[in-house]
Amino acid sequence: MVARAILVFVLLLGASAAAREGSGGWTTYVNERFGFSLRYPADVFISDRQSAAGDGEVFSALQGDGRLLVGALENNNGYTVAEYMDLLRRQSYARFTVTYARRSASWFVVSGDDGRDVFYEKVMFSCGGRLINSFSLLYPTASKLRFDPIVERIENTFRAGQCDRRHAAG
Amino acid sequence: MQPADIEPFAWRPTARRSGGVTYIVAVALAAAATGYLLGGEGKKTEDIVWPPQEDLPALAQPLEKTQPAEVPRSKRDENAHAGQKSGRSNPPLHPTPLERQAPSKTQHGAVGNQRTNERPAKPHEVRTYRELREYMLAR
Repeated sequence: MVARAILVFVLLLGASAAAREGSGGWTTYVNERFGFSLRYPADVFISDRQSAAGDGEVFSALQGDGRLLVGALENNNGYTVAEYMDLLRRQSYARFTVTYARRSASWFVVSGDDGRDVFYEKVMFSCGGRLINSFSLLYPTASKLRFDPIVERIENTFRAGQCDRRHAAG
Repeated sequence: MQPADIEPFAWRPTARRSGGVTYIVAVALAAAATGYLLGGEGKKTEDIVWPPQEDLPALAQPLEKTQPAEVPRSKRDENAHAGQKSGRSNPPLHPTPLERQAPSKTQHGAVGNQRTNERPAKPHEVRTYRELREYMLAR
């Protein structure tokens, strides 16, 4: 009896580990040009379009209006984290009311809504600030329950690109 | 029937069952341990130390100064029509799908006036991350 209980417990533990790994439709995106990566649910988002420059890609939700943007750019203007955060808020999300913002020395998160849609963007500076990596989700407010957990998991797997020869400190 | 005839029959299966369960538990434990080892998210990305503020180059110029001046759509159309009237072969410039969707012409994802001199983008063709951002926000 005890052995059976242990067996059931262990099997449940194994199932939990498998679920945590997220084999159910989650796949890894790696940007070939800049090296940043994240995991996203391939059964929710499919590739919509890629940039010819190889610096980003937009994924669209199979159902609903959700969109996921991943990309990176070289920080040719020498923006600080605070400056780029402010720029983003003013220029990309001007119509939104920011409801959450958090900033660190090398990254920031900003989120908000405009009554119709919710956005969430995380930006990570890497390579001594010369590379700006980000992902952003935009989805209907009505679909928050569906997309909020996805945002959280994507964020947990988001890795910034590292320095290559071009970005290496000279 | 003598007890000696029964005991071996009763104990052997019990022993086999016990061994079987132990084996299954051992395999399951090994599988669970492997799953944890391989299934972990790995080392969290560490924050990259950002240079102190004073070490950074001067702030970039205001965005408007770094971008070519934007020509209003109406002005570009006028120019295009003028080209037609003057007999030039250039057709009027129609907005690309991205331009039609874009609500604003800001630097972050901006499409400058210079682009009007380029060939129109094909449908579903996006050149840069900034244009992708425009596309995403224009939903």
